[in-house]
This record gives sequence, structure tokens and C-alpha cells, in this order.
Amino acid sequence: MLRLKATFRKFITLLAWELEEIPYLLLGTIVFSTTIYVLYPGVSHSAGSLRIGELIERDSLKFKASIQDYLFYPSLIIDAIEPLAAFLAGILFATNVARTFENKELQTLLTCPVKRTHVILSKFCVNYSILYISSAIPFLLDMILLGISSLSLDIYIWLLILAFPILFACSLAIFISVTLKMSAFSAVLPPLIYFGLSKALDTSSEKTYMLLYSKWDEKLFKAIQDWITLQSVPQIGVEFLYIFLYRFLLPVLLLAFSVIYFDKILQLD
Amino acid sequence: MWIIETRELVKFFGDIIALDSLNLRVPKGVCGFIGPNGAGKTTTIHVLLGLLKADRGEAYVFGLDSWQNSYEIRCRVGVLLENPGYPKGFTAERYLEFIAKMYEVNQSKSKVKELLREVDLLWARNRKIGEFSAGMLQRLGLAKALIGEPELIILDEPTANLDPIGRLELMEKIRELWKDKRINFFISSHILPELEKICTWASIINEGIIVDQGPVVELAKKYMPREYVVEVGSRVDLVARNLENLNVVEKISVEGNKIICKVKDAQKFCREVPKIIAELNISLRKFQPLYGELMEVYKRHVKVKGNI
Repeated sequence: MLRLKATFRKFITLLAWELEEIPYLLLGTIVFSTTIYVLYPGVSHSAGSLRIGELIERDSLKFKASIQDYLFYPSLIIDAIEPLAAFLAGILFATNVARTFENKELQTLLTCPVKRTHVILSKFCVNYSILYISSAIPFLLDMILLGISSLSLDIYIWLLILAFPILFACSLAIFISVTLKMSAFSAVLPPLIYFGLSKALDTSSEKTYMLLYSKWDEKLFKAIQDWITLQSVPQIGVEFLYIFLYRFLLPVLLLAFSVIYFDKILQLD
Repeated sequence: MWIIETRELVKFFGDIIALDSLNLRVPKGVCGFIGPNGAGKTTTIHVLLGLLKADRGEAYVFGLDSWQNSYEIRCRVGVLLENPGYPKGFTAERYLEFIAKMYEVNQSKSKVKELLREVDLLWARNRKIGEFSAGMLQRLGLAKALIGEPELIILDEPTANLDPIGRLELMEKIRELWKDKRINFFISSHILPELEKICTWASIINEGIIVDQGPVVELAKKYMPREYVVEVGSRVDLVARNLENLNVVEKISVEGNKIICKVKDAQKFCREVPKIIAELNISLRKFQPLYGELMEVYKRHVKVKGNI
């Protein structure tokens, strides 16, 4: 029991260490840029996956995207946050993980009595929390601006769903940082891989944005809502398997591999 | 008996062999780890701390496997790496407080202040590490290594970046910690005269192989120095002529008041010199090996390969 307490204390110390190491300026920039990104979709999305005026397919209907589409559909906001999350996660983990290999900070830390798993998990937890909070703030702001009560259950379900794309972005970034140990690659590769995956998953033949993730998130929202309000038990179909695979299993596997690699294989010369 | 032991340790970096069947043995006490640049000293230390995994062979610290039980080893060891990295945004005091918590040091704040005073950094305790000079960083690293009062302290080139007074103070501190608290030291360094004064054991490494190791006294006997310096107060020429007449002396040269002799039989030479000086009734200021005992051992193994 005492040993468990000591281990827990050391993990908390590492979390505090990581939090203190994150520059507040960077944190502020992330929150600020995310807010701008979400609240001005017309500007930022022109370079993203959806352009105002292009066709959206939802519920077997096609209609032109407008600013309101972003503002009125939380799933589309998450879809907008996702590429930025991949980009920011790349920067955060490049700074906080890959760069510490390069400047020997990690080697020095690992000469102290700390467990390797604790070190890497503390880095993940802190960076994930920062990214999640900085995404959730503008997301909540947007919801409230739309007139959804902050007490509404829907907001909390959406906040839960928001956790998955952030998990994917962070897992991908930590995986690259730990395996490549180079900050430049760690910053650049996560957004590139994210866009590559989006393209690979986009199976539409016509010039229509299927917004696959967005559709999935809406289905997930509905399923969780029905399940919580006991209206129905979610049906496990093929699509749900895809959702589970891309939204949960893949990030968890990436994270697990990164932690095991860091703990058992990684060498620090 | 050994606090550090490696058996047939092999480590490759690509095609380059850094450690080639290294058999290192280190007993309790203050031990020197000597070798030229690129000999494999830092790689050995990294393997011992579990930062690197050996490709073949075994490495033990306190009888614990260095890779499998790295955490347990690090709980009992304080370390100063050759090129340590620190979080530049932390102040020295805050950084050491975190390290103290990791070592589960009681009353960490007062301990940190005490250590900062000992390494002469108390005045800079609230300064960010990013603003530190190289010497200050070295002192901070020393404070970090000392913080948990570990059973063993591993120092990789500890005197690098320290001024002469800082070096002397460090050597004095090491001697004091071994004498008073029985803290063992394993010190990798090039500065042999400094190590010679404090080490009881030395291991010499070259090209990834331990070329010799043992108690410094025995190594010194085994490798009796061949060059000596004799310094006298007056009549240098007369003394030089008398020394030259000794059949054990191979070569002699005079530099000011110093006579440098290269000898064939060191034991006989050491017996004869005081006698000659006494007969001539001249004051003897200095009589010692030219390079120091450890340097002599080092030279025999390393110089032949053109590394120094």
C-alpha cells in the first residue's frame, strides 16, 4: 500500500513537472487559434475539408454548405476541430516529447528514480488535457451561442464525442514522437497522416464531401443519447464497427504501442 | 563484493562496436573510470543506468540487472551525465525540488537549499536554468546527483566546465562523502592527477575493452613510472651529474631547478636519489613521477595506439 502511494505521488510529481514545462504562451495560442478557427469557419475552412457552398450529403440529402451548417451541427464543428487538433498535437508532442530526446532532457530525467511508463503517460495526459480543454472551450462557446443550454445532456454527450478525435490526434503524435525521436518529423507528420487518412476514407466518386467522420459522430451521438435516455439499445452494425475501429481502437492501440515501446524497447544514447 | 560488474558486455551502434566484451569490476569506494575520448566510457555508464540495452553480455549494479531492474538501480544511484539536459524554464530551486520528490527526500525544500549552498548556487536559486553558464549547469548537475544521498554516485566527466577552485572543491567533497557517509563513487574522467588523489580503484578502458583494472596502489606498483622529476634548491648541475652516473638512469635533462630522469629500474632509482641528495647536503624540494601514477598506466595502454 505504501509503495502504491509512493508510486502515485511520483506520478503526480511528473504531471506537475510536465504542466510546469508547457509554456503558457503556447497554451494561450492554442486556445486562441482554436477559437478563431471554430468561430470563423468561412475563413478557416476554405483551406479545410469543406468549402462554403459545396455539397454536403446528410440523411441521403444533398445540400449546399453554409456557415450555419457549421454553427448548427456540432458534428461539423468537431470535423473542423479535428485537423487543427492533429496539427496542434504534432507541435505539442514535438516540443514536449521529441525535443526532449534531442536536448537530452529525457535522458537526464530518466537517470532519476522514475518509471518510464510514468514519464510517457504523464506527457500524454498533460498534452491530451491541454488539447482537449483548448478544443472544448470554443466548442462549448459555440454551443452556448447556438442557444443550447449548458445544462443540456446533449452538450455533455458532444463533449464526450469530442474526446475521441483528440485522442486520435494525440496518439498519432506521441507514436511518431517516440518512434522517430525527431521534433521536425513529429510536428509535420501527424497532420499529413490525418489528411492522408481522410482522403483514403473518402470513398465518394462525385465531387461531394461525404464528411464520413461527421456522419459517424452524429450516429454515435444518437446512439449514446438513446442509450442514456433508455429509448433503445444501440445496434452494432458494420458502421459502428468502423466507428469503434477508427475512433477508439486505432488510437488506443497507437498509444499502447507507444507506451510499451518507450518502456521496453527505446534506447537513449 | 563488486557494486558494478559487467560480463562480456557488447554494444554496437550500427556497424561500430562501442563496447567489445567489456569486463568491468568496481568495488566499494571511490573508483576511477579512465580512457580516451570514444573509448566507451559514456556508453558503459548509459548501459549501467538502463538508458541503453547491451547487445550481448550482462551488466549489474548492486547485483541487479541494469536493463531489467533499471528503476531499482536508479533509486539507489545519483547521476551526473556528461551532457545533461535540463528544463530551461525551471528555476534551479524548483528543478531540484522536483528531483528531491522523485528521490522521496524528506524536508525537500531545506535539503535543496543546503545543496545549493554546497555547490555555490544559492545566489542563483531563483534564476531560470536557461540563463545558467556551463559551469553553473555543472554545479546544478552535481547537486542533482547528491540530492537523494544515494549509495553510489556515478559522475561522467564531473570536472568539465569547472574552474580550478571548483575542481579542488569537488574532489574534496567526494573524499568527504566517502569518508563520512560511505557514499561510493564511480568517476569517469580524463583529469588523472585529480582522480589519483581520491581514487582507491581504477579501471582503464580503451576501444571498448578494459585494458587493466585494480587498486590504484597495485596498478602503481605494476606500472612503476619510468620518468621522474627531481627538484632541488641549489647546485642543480652537480646533482644532475651525480644522477647521470647511476647506471639505472637512461636519459637526463635539466629545466631550471628541475631534473627530469628517464630510468630503467625505478625501485633502485627511488632508493638512490635521497641518498645522493643527503650526501651532497642539498635541500630536496620535489621528487615524484613526472606524470603521476595513473597517467603512467594510462600512457602504457593508450598512447601506443596513438590516442593521446
